[in-house]
Amino acid sequence: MDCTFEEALVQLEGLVDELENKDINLEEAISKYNEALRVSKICYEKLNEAKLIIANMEEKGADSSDKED
Amino acid sequence: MENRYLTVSALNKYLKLKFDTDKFLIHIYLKGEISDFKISNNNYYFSVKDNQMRIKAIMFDYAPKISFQPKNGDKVLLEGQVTIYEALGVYQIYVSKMTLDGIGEQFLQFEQLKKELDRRGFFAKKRPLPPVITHLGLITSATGAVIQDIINTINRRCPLMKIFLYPTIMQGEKAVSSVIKNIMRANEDRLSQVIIIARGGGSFEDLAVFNTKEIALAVYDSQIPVISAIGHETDVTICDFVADMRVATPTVAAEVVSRNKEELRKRISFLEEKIFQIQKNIFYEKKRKFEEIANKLSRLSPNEKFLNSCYRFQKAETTLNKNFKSIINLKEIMHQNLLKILDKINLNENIIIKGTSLLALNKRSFEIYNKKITDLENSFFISLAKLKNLNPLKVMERGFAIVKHNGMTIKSANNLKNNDVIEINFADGKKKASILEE
Repeated sequence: MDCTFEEALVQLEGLVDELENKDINLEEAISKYNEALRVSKICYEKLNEAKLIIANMEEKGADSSDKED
Repeated sequence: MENRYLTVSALNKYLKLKFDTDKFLIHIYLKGEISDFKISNNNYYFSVKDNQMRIKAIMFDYAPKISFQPKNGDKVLLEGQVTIYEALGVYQIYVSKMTLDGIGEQFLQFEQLKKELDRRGFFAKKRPLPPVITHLGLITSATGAVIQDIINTINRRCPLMKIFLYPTIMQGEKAVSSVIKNIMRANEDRLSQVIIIARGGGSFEDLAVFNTKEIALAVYDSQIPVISAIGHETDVTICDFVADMRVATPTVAAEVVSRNKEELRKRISFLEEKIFQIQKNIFYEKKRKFEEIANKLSRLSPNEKFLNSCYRFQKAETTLNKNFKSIINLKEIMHQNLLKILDKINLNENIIIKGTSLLALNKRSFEIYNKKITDLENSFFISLAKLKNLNPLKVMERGFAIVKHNGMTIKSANNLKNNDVIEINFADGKKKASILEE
């Protein structure tokens, strides 16, 4: 699934809301939980990706300011 | 014939002798205005002039002789000797005494014009320079140090700047019209964002061009902001006052227009840093939000629900088993009791067989078992009805009675004596009686 971090986060929030419902049955709970773990992984990966890009930019920024003058 | 030609030295020496022996020139009193004033090795070098003419002047070792700081434009009273400087063949006045003679005439005119223009608002028009200057109009002489200083400074600081040079006569009679013409041309061309009018240092007279009303008007009318860079730091001209910005020297003017590059770079760095920080903040905010949800999720594992379900299931199973067992036990007890009763009252074999087969029934099949029990119960009630017929009370209903004495059932007449009080039990009640005779 290709989605934005926000979309994934919204999906995750929805799943958590459903899991928080005490009336949910076990099969549904397991299925939703698995889905939530999957979406959570997507979120985590997207965050890591962003973190890398930012770190990279920070490096580049430092490089370019060194080159100045 | 040869003797008729003098050497320069001979001539200059002769003239010097003439000057030095003239009793009037040995000590003269002179008044005029100082210009081209210079100080070198404790000596003043300057010119003294009136409206039409001038004479060179020198004052050696001035310090003990003077009580003020002379400058161009000062009207002064001088005492001294006029003589020849042989080496150059120039005559000059060697000043021995100098005092101020009021404010110089030209300076007075300058002050008057300044006041007038100020009153008319010419000095109030100060437009900000564009934040980034890439196109510069330059009104100055095409040759000389000033243009070089400006170009060097700009190339060093902001090499990409485009400079439009308007070669201009900056001194003398033609200067005023040349400057005005080029200010107008720059405005017509519309190539420049800023105009610099630049000129190196000079005497008050040299700079007088920039004290004219004509140039002041041209600068004031310029649609393009003007930076005035006339003379040295101490020189002030009308042009400086009217311009949007006045700077001390041409080099400073070049720095001012190219300083923006440094500011721009700082601004870019600042914005870069800001953008980066904002992006970082967004990232951390998203991360925080995600972690909050992830934490929530970790607490919502169905494991607990599973364990809870297991527990509930086990509890239900246990209860079920217990209930089932107790039902079976109950039925079994009932059954055993029945058997006992039946045994006691000699029930027929058929019933016993039924009972025995009942015992052998598969306990796992509750429904079948229950049916058997029901059957058994039915049989039991049938048996009970039979038993009822065998009940002693039923016999008494046919007229028999039971006789009791002192609570004991009397089974033989021999057990009673005369006057014994007996109790006769009928089916429907009892009476007391006494024995009359044996």
